[in-house]
Amino acid sequence: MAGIIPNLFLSNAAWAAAVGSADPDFFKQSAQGQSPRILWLGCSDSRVPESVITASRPGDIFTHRNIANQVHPDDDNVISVITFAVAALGVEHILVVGHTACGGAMACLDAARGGELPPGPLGRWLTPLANLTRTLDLEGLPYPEALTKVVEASVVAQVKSLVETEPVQTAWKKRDLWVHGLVYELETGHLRDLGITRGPRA
Amino acid sequence: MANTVKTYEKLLAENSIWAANKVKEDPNYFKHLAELQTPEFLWIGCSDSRVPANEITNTQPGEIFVHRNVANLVIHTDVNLLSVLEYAVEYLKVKHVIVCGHYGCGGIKSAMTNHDYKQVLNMWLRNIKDVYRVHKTELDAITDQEKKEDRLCELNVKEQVLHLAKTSIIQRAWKHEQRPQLHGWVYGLKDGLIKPVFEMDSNSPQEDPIYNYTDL
Repeated sequence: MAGIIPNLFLSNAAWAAAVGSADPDFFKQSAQGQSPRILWLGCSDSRVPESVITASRPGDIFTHRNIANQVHPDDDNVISVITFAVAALGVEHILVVGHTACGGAMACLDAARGGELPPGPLGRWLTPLANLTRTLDLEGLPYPEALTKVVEASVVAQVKSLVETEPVQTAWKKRDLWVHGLVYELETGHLRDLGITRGPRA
Repeated sequence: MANTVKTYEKLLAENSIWAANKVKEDPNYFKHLAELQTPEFLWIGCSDSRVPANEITNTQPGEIFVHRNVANLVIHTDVNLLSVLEYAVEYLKVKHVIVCGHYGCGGIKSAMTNHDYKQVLNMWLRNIKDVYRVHKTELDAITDQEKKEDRLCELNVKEQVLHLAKTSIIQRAWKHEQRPQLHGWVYGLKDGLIKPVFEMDSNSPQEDPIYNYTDL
C-alpha cells in the first residue's frame, strides 16, 4: 500500500514517455485545444472507463461520470457539463451509458422491494431512480434480469431528460446533435446500443 | 452528416475489437470484473477530453472510481459529487481521493474573464472566481497570462482538496479509519505528466476550526 501512489506516478511517466515516443507531436497538439465529437454521460463505476472500453485517445471524449449515470434537470453539475460540451465545444454525439451490475441501480431495486435508500446525499441522488424503479413491472423476474431492466429503463429516462435540457433544445434549432442510450455489459465488455437515438428531427 | 455517423459507429466498432482482444488474452477477464469492484482510488477530475483518468495513469478497469466535471470542482452543496464521495468513501472504502486539475483548463480560463456565460455556467464558474479572490494578492502579481492561469489551476486544486476535508464524509472516515489520503494533482497537457501540488490526511488540520465536526 505504501507504494501505491508512487506507482501511479511511475505509470504516468511511463505512459507519457510511450505516447511521446510513438507520436512526438501528440502532447504539443493536444495542448493547443480540444475538439471532441463525443460527450459521455456514464457511471462512476471503476469497471466502465470510457476511454479504455472504446479504445479512445485523449481528446476523443468529453466525460461526465456520476452515480448511476443520471441526468437530473436541476443538477448544476451535469447541466454545466452538457452546456459546455454542446454550446462551447460543439460535440455531435451525446452517449448516456448505463451498465449491468450497477450498484446505484441495485440500491434502487432493493428500495423498491421494501428496503430503504441510505440517508444523506447518496439517497437523495438516487431518489428519482428509485421512484422510476417502483413503476416498472419486475414481477417474477430473477434478480439479474430485474436489474438489467432497471438499468435499461434508467437509460431511457436519462435520454428523455437530456433532450429536454436547454443546451440540447437550443442546439437542435441550429444543427445536428445525436443523443444515444447504451448499456455496457460488464460480463462481456460489450457496449449495446438500445436503439433509442434522438436527433433534431427524430 | 456522414462523418458524424461514422464517429459513433467507429466507437462501437472499437469497443467490439477491444472486448474481443481482452477475451483472447484472458477468457475470464470480464467474468471476474463483473463480480465486484474494489478500486483503491476515487478520481475527481476535469471533464476535459484530454484528461481521461485511466489512460494517463495506465490503470485498468476496476482500479479507479471516477467523477469528472467542469474544472474538477468540489462544491459543498453539490449532491452529484457528494453522492460519489459518499459511495466511494463509505461503501467502496477507497484509500485515496485524488483531485486532478490540468493546465490549459477551459473552465479556469473562462472564470478569469469578465464574460457572462449565462446560467448555468455562471453559477458553476463562480466557484473558481472565489478561489481567485482568496489568492488575489499572489495571482494579481503574476503578469504573464498563461503563468497566471497555471497558478490559478494549482490553487484551485488545493482549494478543492480543502473543500473535501471540510465534508463530514471525509472527516468521519478520518476519525474512525484514518483514511482516505487526499491528493491534489495537476496534469500537464504539454508533456502528459502529473504534478502533485497538495496533500492532506487524517492528521491534517482544517483550514479553520469552524469546519471541524467533533461529534461524528
